[in-house]
Amino acid sequence: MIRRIPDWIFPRLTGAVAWALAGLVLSLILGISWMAWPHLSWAAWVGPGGRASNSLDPRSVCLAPLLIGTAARTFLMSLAVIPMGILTAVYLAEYAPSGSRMARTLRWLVQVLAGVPSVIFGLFGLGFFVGVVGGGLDRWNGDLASPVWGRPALLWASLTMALMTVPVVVVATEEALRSVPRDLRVAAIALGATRLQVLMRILLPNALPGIATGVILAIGRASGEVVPLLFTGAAVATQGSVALNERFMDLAYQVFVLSTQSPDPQASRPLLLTSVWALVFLSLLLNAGAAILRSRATPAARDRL
Amino acid sequence: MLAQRSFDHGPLRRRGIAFDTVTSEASQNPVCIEIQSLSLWYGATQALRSVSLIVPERQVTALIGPSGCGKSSLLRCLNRMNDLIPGARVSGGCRVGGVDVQDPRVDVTQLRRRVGMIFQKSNPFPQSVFDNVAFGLRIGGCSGSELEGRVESALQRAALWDEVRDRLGESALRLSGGQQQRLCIARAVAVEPEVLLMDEPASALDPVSVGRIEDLIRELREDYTILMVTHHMQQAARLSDQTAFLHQGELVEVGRTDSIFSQPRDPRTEDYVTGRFG
Amino acid sequence: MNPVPKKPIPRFSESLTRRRRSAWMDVWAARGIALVAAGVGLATVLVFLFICIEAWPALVGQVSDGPMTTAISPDQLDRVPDEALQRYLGMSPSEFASKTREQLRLLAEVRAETLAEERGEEQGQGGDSIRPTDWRRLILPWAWKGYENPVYLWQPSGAGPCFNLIPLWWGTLKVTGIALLVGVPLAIAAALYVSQVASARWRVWLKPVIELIAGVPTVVMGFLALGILAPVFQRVVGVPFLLNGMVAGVAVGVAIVPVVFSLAEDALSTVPREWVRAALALGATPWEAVYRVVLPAAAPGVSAAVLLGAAQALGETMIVMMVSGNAPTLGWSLWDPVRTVPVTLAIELGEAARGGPHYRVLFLLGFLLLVLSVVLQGLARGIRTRQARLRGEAMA
Repeated sequence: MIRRIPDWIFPRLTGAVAWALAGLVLSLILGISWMAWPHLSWAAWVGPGGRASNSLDPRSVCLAPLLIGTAARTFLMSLAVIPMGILTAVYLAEYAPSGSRMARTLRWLVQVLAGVPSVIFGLFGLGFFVGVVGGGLDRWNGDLASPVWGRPALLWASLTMALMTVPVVVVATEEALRSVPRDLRVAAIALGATRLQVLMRILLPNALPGIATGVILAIGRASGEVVPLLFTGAAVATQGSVALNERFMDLAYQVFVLSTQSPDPQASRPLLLTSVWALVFLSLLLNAGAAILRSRATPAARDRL
Repeated sequence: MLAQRSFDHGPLRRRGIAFDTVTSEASQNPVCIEIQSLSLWYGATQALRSVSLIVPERQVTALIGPSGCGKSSLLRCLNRMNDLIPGARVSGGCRVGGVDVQDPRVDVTQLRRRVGMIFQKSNPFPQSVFDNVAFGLRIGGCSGSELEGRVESALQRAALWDEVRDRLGESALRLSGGQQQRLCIARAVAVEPEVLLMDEPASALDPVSVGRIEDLIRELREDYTILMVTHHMQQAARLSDQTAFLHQGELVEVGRTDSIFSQPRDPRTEDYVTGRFG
Repeated sequence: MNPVPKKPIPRFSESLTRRRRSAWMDVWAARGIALVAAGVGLATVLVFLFICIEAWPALVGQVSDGPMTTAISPDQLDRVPDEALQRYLGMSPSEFASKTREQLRLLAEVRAETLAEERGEEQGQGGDSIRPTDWRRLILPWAWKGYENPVYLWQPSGAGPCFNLIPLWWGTLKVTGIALLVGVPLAIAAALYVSQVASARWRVWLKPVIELIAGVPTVVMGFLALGILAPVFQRVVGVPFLLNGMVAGVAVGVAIVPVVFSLAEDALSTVPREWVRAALALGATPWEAVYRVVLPAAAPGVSAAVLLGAAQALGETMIVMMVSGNAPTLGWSLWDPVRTVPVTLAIELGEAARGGPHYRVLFLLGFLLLVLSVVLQGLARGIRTRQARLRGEAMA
């Protein structure tokens, strides 16, 4: 029966699907931009209400606190994830005795971590970071009655996200380190460089585009994730200040809340549309940045010859 | 002697550095290599079979032999680059300047600074010309005007200074193949080694560059002990004072170059130098 | 012109055996790096361990709802620690914090009375104390108070909590199934086109653009599904519920396309071109060449891609939470609202009293989800490494 399918169907059908998918993405982006366009203005970024606005109030279309909150959480996450990811990859690529069981186990663990669903990270973030670590801090300080650290907060959310995106950075960095041409390492070693010097002077500088790609991908993935934040501290409206042990506002969380729980859908539409647009724009920017960096790594490889 | 060539000492003087002659400081300490019953295994395969050889100071010793006979492996034993190959095992001894390189008290990175290596295919770092030559100096803690002076003197010793003096900041990868190899030589001599190990240094180059490298080796001979692996017997005949012939990991014959080529004692040597195999 | 004082040249042997001053830096750097790497590995283990530990009581059927069923008389209130009291009253942390002492006392009185009633009723039913977290309640149907026939019921709040897991897994199965049915054919068709049919010029653009779908955050996909897909379905098909399992399934299906497409395209394009040319030279049409040569050769890679897509669909929370209707139903119709396991976790964990039976059952669900996810991904990885090993041997 398969044989009797006329041969022209195969390329047409699959082509239609492929182009439709490509078109879907583009029309998604264009559609969102078009819908959000009327509401985008300079006021949208700063807003009449300033930082203390209640973002469920439809009159204040104010993206600034959302962006600040997202930026704060992403920045803290990067502070944690960049050293953790890079050093782990350095260990796997350089310092681990080749073929050692510990290296293989570690690599396997990182892969497993990459596959854990985001809800589980939410569970872990709430149960462990907020409960055990935060609760422990409170118990130590004697604050059990009114928790200072044992509640959903910016710090715990950032740490949870860091854990979630570590595998991305590790894999990208290890790949970048391994792709540094071998004769560069050999030349440096023959000149009497120690392992640390080879790492700092030869490997890391040459692997930098790949590492940066990994970091940007990690940031991109984290900025669009909402689920772990549900447990670890995203809020709809804060007092405007950004503190480590307070809840925080977040762009992606805002989209979720406004889509599903807005008391007045019609009135909050402008904010919702602008938030969606900002989120998509941000993701696209990060993805494009990563793609450009990835392609910049190859000319350097070409240069070697 | 290098001092007989007319180098421009102007730039050095302007920086307040006085050099009596532009020679290697290490020429004060001639060093010879003694290899005794050296055997090398890569896992289960034996690459060198009880090789014994003396490389006299401040001469060029050529290692010839068909491919796969262990010439490069022998070189790598001397600066312990075989440590990088998992499963490499050594027995017997090689002493450089009286020091057994396998001695656990020896600091391997220091050894590699005093015993420099030039590779078959030039491998400059993707940095500027200056940074390439300065690399070995910087990791040794040198900096500032002393660094600049030593970079310049290394480039002069490698006969590259005149060509790159205005291009020190350019990427080293823009140089031609022959220039890159001379840059690697400059990089190696910048750290003032006593010994230079050269693994077919001119094999990947065009004839003009080969000629310049050979001239350079003749000059370097004045100041360094050179052990050179080569595939070209004519090159060995031109450059070396002593030649050793290796075959399948075994040292077949060693002696003064002219006698090896004109009156080889071992029939295998004769077959090789007359081109019957290899 | 000052001569630079020449450093005394050390003897060769001395310089080789002298310890470098900065050697300690290398040692500590190596130790630090190993430490951080071990830390990351331990963190992974910690995640799994934590979930297991929190789910353990539910797994072995020993959830302590003791404090909940032993009456605490109101004058004993002050001697009971806050956490235990909170669980006894069945309140979430935020509710508990917002009540005054007086209110808590009143509530404790009410609770004591209720428990006494229930105990009386239980004894009337033959003394079989109904522990809602007993494994039979989790899996088998039961005739709860007020229901004539045994039902599978997930109702954590209310007078008598019911924790049957079946409706949740049924919903998960529906959504994942629909997602795979929608996403996998689309992704594979696109992968076939991009790897086999498209000219190189288009391929360079098409691949990244399709993979760009992965760059759209799942909230945004949920938003679009909510605003566009759900009303369209309702208008076209005319179903009673706007938010239902079908919408969620289709949206998740689109969301898993990039993952499946990427891996399938990799697998398909690494099939050596010579094999295709050989097939064509033997008189096969392009479609036959693909069907008989390329697809079987790429089958392991494509299966791995599908498994990974399934794992992602399984764990997808955001989209499903926004458009699936979130009602734990058990009907056969695909147009019913559903509740999936990840969504249940997301919605209910914040409100579950720490350590209480609801909390334990939620962690049990999390544990099962984690295990399933890891198994699927492990299978995918295993297929790929086995294929790589076979290919490597073939090349050698």
